[in-house]
Amino acid sequence: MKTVAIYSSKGGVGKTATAVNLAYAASVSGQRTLLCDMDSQGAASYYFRIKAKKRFNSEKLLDGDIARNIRGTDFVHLDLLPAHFSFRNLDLALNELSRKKRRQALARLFAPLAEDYDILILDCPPNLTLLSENIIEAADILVSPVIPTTLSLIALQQLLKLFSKLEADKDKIIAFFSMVERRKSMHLAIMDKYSRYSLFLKTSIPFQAEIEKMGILRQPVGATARQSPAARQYEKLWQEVMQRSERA
Amino acid sequence: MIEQVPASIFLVDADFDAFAVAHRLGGGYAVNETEAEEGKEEFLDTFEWGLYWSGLALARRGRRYRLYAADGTVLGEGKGPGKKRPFRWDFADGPIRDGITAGADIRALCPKLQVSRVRRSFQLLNEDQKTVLRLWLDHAVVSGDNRGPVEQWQLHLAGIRGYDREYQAVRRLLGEDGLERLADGTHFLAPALTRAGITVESVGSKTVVVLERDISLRDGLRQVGLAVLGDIQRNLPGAIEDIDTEFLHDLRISLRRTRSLLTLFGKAFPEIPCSHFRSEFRWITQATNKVRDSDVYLLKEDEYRGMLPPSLHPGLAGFVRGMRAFRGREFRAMKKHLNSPRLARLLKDWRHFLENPPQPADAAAQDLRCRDFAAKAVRKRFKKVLLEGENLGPDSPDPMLHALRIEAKKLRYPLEFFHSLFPPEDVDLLVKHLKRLQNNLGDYNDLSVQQQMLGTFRSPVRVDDPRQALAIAAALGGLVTRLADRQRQVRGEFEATFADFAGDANRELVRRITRTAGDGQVAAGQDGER
Repeated sequence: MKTVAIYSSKGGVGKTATAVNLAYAASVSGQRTLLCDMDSQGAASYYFRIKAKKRFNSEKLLDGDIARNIRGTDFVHLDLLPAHFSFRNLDLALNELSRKKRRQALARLFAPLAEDYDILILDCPPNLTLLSENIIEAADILVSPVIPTTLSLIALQQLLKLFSKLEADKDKIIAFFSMVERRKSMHLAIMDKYSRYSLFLKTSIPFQAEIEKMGILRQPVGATARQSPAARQYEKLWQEVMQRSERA
Repeated sequence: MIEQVPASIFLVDADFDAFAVAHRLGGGYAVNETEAEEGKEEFLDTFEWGLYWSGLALARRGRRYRLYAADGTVLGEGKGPGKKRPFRWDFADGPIRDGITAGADIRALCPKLQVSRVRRSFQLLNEDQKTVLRLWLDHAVVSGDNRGPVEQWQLHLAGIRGYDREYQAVRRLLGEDGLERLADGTHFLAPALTRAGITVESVGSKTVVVLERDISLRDGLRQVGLAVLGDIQRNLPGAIEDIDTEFLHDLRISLRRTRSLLTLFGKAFPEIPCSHFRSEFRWITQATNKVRDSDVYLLKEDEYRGMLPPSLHPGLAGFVRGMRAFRGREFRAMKKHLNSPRLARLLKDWRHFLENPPQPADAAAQDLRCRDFAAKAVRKRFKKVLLEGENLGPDSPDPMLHALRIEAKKLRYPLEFFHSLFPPEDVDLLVKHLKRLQNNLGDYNDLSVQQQMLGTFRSPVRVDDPRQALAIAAALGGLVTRLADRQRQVRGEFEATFADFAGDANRELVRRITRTAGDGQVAAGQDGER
């Protein structure tokens, strides 16, 4: 099982849209995929019309009560571990664990699912906390969406710093430009300057109405229109992530 | 591990209304029809229905393949080989190739049945418009076996993880309607196959014959002989057509079994002439030797490649090319024999002999009971194995091991021929232990034969390019070294393997088997003999 975390400490960069659409692209390619919605706002769960069980919460998650809460989406090979409002306390729950266990809690939690899934995608909340350290530990690949703006680049720098602090392998980090608007000269200038770094993937995701419409249609863009430009772009992005992860 | 998603299949009528399910459930549910597809599917399986017995089904439309689970869910689909009878390795890496590995290892996938199918797919949606259950209504028309086409309507329910309540509710509802549900785990093709008169048998190379307990020796041998002849005739067309290597392999097993049966026959009724059959079956077995030998080397290609460093792989590839050419030539020669009037006559005469065996002149021989004879044969052959094995030491020469291998084979035949006359658990256990010994001896022998053949350091066909010949010689040299290491290891394991086989537990097993079979009369005498 390959664990792919979609992460950025900045909000509104398109993390959930990325997680949902990459998970869909993975499942369409025949990989048994589990999307784990770790953001207490539950946007990924919303997109798939899935509600968490009432008693499912972060303590249960850390107790290993995970398999029973997985739900099938409308799509073959794609399951989801729904978010719960109490996930906002996940950091507190992690903090209560002993120092030794704390950083690997998530990695240990997902290990038993390795036989059931080929791909595990984590849709992460925007923060830089103990949960982030857990995610870095658990992930084989960390995909960070970056809007071609200064603030978004700062978030990426913070991530790189955190990796240095934790002495984690920076090769795990993959960035791509998200919500790109080609009519904005700043977007073009930043992409021009930074895309030469190997950290960035070649594929970028444009700002498109059909991605925004996911909130109304409540399904991945590929499920609405497989051949749409956005769907094809996510498929391309997924292929590039997979190629890069094989190199890593 | 997460729990498997449940699924079930109901047999329904032509007018089944899937939309009515939602109304009857109430509570804001709706049924949505997603797609309808129509077309002819050709289902493929191995000669022995390996996929079916592994809970799978592989269908194709042109070059588009689809792998189904036994419950009818689709496990994978994609473009595949255009061959009439593809092998597992003809598929690209992916879910189909991975999925069929268990059921179709080295056997060809042959067309088994044609199904014209209309599949309508539905989803049961909850109040959030989330799919909570998948349903398919299949209308299948199967081309039958002399019975004309057979029609069937099946409703498949496939649960969705986390929505068991809805799955159970619909299942209950259909049950209340009195619809027939296939027992959980039943293959979705099973009812159609049964109605179309297609038998799904996993016979392997050895048909098991159930003999009546007090059957006479003459009739017992006759029935076993006819069953083995059936195995020969079942595998012969596939061997001639060269569908896969296992037809010839299984044909050879049946020929060897026939020859062993002839030996038993000759011992039981020495006055009945059957030396003609013995020499003819020897002839046809020998005619298949070279092709089978080539198959063994070709099947080991991957294993051999794993034994060699990459620098020797081109040499191995040259050897394999030569072996293929050699096999092609030998196959043409063998095919002539397999298609010959001489073999047709042999099989016809042998069947006639088995169906109308001459009466033994000796009245005592006429009264011989099969189980007494079987018990005696097993006892005698077991003793022989022990004797040969006990004479072997760590430095004994290869021919002595070879002799023991032959004796072990001779013991295996009566245990299998007369299986039904022995206590089943005991005989199965003895065969299991015997197999372990046979595997050790067989591996040792195979490794000897391979080293001898590969030790010629030449391609089986002429290679003119001296550099190519050298590369082949180097690769074969590398293989011989590795095979010799392996052979030493196998030889080192012999002592312990034989000691296990010759232990008190198996002696007791043989006593029990033969006592039960022979009603204790012969067994008592045997105890005295020992």
